Amino acid sequence: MSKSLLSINNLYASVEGRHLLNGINLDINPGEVHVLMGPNGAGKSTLANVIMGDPRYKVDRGHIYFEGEDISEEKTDARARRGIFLSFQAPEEISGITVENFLRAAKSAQTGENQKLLPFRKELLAKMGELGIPASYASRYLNVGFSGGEKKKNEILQMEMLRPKLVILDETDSGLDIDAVRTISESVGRYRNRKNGLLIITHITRILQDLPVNYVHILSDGRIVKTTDASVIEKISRDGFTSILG
Amino acid sequence: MPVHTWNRLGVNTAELVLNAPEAETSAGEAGLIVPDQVRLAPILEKTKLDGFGADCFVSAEMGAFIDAHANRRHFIQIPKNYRNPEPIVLELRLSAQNPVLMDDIVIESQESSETTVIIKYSSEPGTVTEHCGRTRLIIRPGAKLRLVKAQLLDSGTANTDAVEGLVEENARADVILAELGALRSSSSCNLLLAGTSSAASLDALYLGDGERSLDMSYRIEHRGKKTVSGIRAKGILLGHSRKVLRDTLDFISGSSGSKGREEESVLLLSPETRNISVPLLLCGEDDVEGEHAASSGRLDEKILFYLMSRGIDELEARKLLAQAALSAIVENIPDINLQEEILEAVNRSVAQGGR
Amino acid sequence: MAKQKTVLNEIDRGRFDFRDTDKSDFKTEKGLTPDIVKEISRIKNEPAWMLEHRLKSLDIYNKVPLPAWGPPLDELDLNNIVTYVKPNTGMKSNWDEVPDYIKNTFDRLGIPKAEKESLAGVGAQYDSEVVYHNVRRELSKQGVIYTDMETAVREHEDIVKPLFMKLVPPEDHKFVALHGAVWSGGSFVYVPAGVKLKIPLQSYFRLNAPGAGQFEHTLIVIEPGAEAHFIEGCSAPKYNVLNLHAGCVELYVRKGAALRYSTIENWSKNMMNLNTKRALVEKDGTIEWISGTFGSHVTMLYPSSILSGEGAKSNFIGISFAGSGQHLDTGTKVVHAAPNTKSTVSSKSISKDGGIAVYRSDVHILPNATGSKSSVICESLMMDRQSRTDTIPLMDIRNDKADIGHEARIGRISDAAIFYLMTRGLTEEESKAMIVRGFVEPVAKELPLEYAVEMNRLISLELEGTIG
Repeated sequence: MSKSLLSINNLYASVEGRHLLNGINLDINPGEVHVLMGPNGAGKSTLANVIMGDPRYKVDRGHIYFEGEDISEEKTDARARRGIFLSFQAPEEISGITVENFLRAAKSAQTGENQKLLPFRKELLAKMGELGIPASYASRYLNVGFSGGEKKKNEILQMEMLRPKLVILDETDSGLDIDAVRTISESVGRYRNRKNGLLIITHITRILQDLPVNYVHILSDGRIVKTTDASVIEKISRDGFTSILG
Repeated sequence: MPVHTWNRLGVNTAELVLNAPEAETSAGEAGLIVPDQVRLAPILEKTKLDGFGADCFVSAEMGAFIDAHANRRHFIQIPKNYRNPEPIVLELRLSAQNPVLMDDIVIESQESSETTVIIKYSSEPGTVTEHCGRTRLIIRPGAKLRLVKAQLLDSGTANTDAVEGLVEENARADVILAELGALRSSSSCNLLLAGTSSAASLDALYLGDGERSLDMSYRIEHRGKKTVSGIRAKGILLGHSRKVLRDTLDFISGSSGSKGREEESVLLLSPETRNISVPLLLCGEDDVEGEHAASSGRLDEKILFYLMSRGIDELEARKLLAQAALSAIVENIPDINLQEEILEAVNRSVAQGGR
Repeated sequence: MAKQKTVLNEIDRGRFDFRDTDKSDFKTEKGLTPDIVKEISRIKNEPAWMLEHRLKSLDIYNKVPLPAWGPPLDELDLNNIVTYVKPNTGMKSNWDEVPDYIKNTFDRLGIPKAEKESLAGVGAQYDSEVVYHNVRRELSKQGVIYTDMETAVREHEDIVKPLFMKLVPPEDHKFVALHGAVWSGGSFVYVPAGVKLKIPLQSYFRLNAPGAGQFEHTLIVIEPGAEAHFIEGCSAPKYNVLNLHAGCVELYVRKGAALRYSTIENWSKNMMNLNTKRALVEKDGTIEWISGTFGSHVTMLYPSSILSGEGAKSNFIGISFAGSGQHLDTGTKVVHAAPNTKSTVSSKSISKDGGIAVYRSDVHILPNATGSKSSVICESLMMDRQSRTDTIPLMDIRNDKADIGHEARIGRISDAAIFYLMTRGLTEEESKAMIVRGFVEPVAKELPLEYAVEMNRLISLELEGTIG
């Protein structure tokens, strides 16, 4: 029996007294693709950030397990090193550090091995090519001056280089043109296999076009109010959330 | 100046000339518009005036001088929860019969009140007059006070003016200062954001022309947590005028979560002016955001050309652009007549070529 | 080009003309007297004009008070200076007395043993004869003069005399006057017209003369159309029992010439570093200051550029890192004294553990500087609330046809940026260090690789707090 990859148990979280997650229960097994949808303000990004251990949020109750271990008290970098990756909705710009140097440092931190310059660069450029990112971006400062779409592609590039076990995509498809969405969607589709898991937060759903979706969770007011399969997606894009929230 | 720098630059201190009249004279005509609920007392009552902090602007000497020689005192007390968009107006006019004005004004905005106070100084043209004044503001929790002080004194006047404000919790001070006259003007404003989540904005506009010299020191001190400030200074210099502006944002250790911004821009319309800016940013607290930007330059030739290509003559275009340089602040003055007076002063000055 | 250094266990006295004559007993003299200054001059075998200059400087030093602004200088023991500048004193420190943190830094920075002793003022150090001669031979083929300051005073009077301490006169301030009286050591560089030096010159000359390294004087003349890059200092901490450094640098950049002057300073934490550096830039000349200030207890350092010819340019990139117990007061001055001159300043500072970083500047636009442009950007990073950072810029503009801009920002490393890096597996410390390295990258970029690497390692050390 395979261990569950991510298991969230009765999770409550708040920020400055505002209750944002009100009892989340979620299980993601290896090989599964879960989609998280819901109206704005439902708590989708909050959930993603709380899984990553964002210190801004306070976990009031509940636990998060990764591969059977309780990570609820662990710091963000420890969780990242376990193999959890979050592609941010609005990635930070960090001046003075190049994309290449940053990724090499992150990969070294995660594998515990110093990455050799040339093989790493070779791999990096290959992956950049697949994502349609110009090679010159490797020596640009991390996200500085990148367009929205370029930042999102850069997040996926990081995913490709760091090879996490659980990938959380937070609205990665919003704000992108059709070609960029397709490129990212294909990349994520190729990345998915029987061992890793995907949690995709979206409300546009274009990114899902090439992915086999196992579960769709509807989040509203910090609670998962409905869990169903992919058939609901079309209904939502036609009739909106109210049609299923009732 | 709160922190001194190289002596050679001559900006560490400004000389003040303090002259007391030989006899007590009634300090000029005053137009007073004060709504009923607002208490106006001629004598300064014992009210808590401590805790203002920096004595770097109003030295003990100057404070004592005003205490001793003020010939006009007002204590304006705005009651709790009083809200009235109609401003309280104080118009003070100097003349040959009343050549010296020393005013000491205290404004107390009690809890949750919201008011605007406008104080205007002017003088009879051609007279030699003197003004030395101090205005102190106490803004109690939750209150909002907007203070507009405009100095449109004749070019034979010497002007010294100091504003000090203490802003308590959740309160707000918006100060607009307009320096448009006087031969020598020394003006300062020191606002202390003492209470948590207090805020202040200081908008200063000035016009220098002829042989005038302006010396301005503005400071906002962040003492409480989550305090917010903005200093904005816009000026035009013509003729042989000279200006020194020191603006300071001071983040005291403990003022975490605070934000402050200083911005200064100067339009130079003559090659003989002297423009000195010292935008200080002092910081003893890491959890703050502070920034300042200062710029100085001339009229954009491309814009001038564009206006003229639409049929506006050069002089008109210069007047328009000069007004535009100050407009962001002028627009905020809640007295349309005063706005017009200021723009008129600018127009006149540009038309005369700054002489 | 590899730097090779050898250690000589005995000072080759003959080379520097030290004489072992009987000295009169100076023990009774407390202060710095004209006799001591005369002796310094005699031992260096200086021409009369230099002695006269020293005596005049001493006079000014005695009359001028300490500056009334800036960091407190009470820990400076001026009376002890005489002990260290008197000729023939055994001024070497003892390796056992060198503080542990200094020794640790040497280890972490990978400084070889021989160099450690030299930096700690314990041993003597010279470049090996071979390297020394090779460098000099290459340069002299091009007509370049590169020698120590004492030699230059004796052998190149025609160039040196009209320029020496004219750009930074002893009247400037007390410590320049002191420098004028007791200066010792330093480099003299003369690059003839049109010669463009490809490799950077480094300050090789470290005499073991008393007071050397404390009061060195550097004079560089770049003739029209010539180009050079001069590097002084290194990231390894320099320790000395005398806690004052009052050096002086005078740079003359002639028409159309270009000079880049890079410095990384890391004085030990007991030092008062009061340095004066000034450049005079003529028509279409360019000066670039690259400056990294670490260490020292108190630093007052304001490299200045005087743009005297039309089209002259000055670019300044600086970084200062103030840690526990440090008060670094740095900045720059630019005087635009001609039309169409251009200056840029980019200054970054970091304060941590109670350190105080002050940025102080002065941009002067004189009435004839029509069409000039100046842009100053300064950013300060506060790592905690015990520290301080103050920005005191000044602009004095006397020409209406000049464009002047100034921006400054203070703040701390954003939590969002730290979180983002941590989500990629870096620890909190690693994330902060990466962001700080990114912050100083514009300076590191301008330095030769070995200096940049050293500087980054130094920053990592500072952040870890293993120093001091």
